[in-house]
Amino acid sequence: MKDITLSFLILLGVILSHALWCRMRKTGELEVLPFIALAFFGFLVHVRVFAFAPSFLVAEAQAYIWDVPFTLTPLVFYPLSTLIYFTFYFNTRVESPSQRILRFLKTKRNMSHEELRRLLTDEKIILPRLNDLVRFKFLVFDGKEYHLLPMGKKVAQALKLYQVFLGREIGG
Amino acid sequence: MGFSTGFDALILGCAFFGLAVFAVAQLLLFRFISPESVLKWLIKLIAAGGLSDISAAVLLSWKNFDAGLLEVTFFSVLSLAIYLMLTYLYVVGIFGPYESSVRLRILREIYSVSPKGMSLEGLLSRYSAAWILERRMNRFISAGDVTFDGKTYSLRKQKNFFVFADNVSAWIRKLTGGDR
Repeated sequence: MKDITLSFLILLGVILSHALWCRMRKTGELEVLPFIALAFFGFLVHVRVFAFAPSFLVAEAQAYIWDVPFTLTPLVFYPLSTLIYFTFYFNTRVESPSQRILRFLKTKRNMSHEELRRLLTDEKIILPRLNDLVRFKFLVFDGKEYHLLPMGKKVAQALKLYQVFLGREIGG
Repeated sequence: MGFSTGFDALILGCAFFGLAVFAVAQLLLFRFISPESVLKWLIKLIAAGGLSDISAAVLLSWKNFDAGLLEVTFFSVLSLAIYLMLTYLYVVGIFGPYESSVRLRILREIYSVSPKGMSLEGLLSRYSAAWILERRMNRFISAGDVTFDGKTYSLRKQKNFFVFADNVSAWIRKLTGGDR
């Protein structure tokens, strides 16, 4: 159990260092690369502590649950929890339409269809995402039409394959 | 207590077993599930996978390690935590974006006419904010998160995954000092 606690403390250290970095930078943008660097450093610490420390590899009878030794579990726990933190961090800058709807319903209690329509317009939902796709080179706009770039085509093909695998209708 | 090696194998093995149960059930069942019922069924399948994980963890820790109640509980909870993390990442990182990402749907729509391009008007005639609203409200109502009395929508459950995610994100936003 102490191994899992240690793993959790390293995760906490990475999260707090990242938060400190974000506060110092004050850009308001997603700080992805610094987070990856910090998370990788945390992983290296894990590998050093759990995979190469002989004391942790000794898995003989233990008197207390606190002393039950783990090597692989923290090495799996850490990347998973780091990725989960990242999904929540990503959410702090990007809001899905579902979250937007529920956030307003939570605040206003009752909303008519027309009120929700005003909340979710093409200008607020479709256009910013379309512009993102152009900005990140998935699409190109020729002034009249949007065309797929190689990266966008690859993603669309992968989605089509996943759809065949799942056997479901198109999402969205 | 008589522990031997293999705690990792027990915890991770059971977690991945739970994930496999969830994934196979999802592959078989979700072919027949409408988009409106996805949330409801997702929760049921996650619970089924979790139950398989815990059952396997309890059984194996008793059988192989001669463990007491405290150890069995500890192994099961840890295994369940790993299983929930794996499932969460699959749902949020792979299945969720396929099922509800606006950006990915836009790419699919433009891909459907590729190598030709698509105008904004053409795109909006196939996929628009009104369409998104319709589908999501049906999904929320079907999952029991939102009710509709014929005139207004209201939140039925104050505690659902989206509200929880929003609260966690708000906390991280405060921590990192950012604005949405």
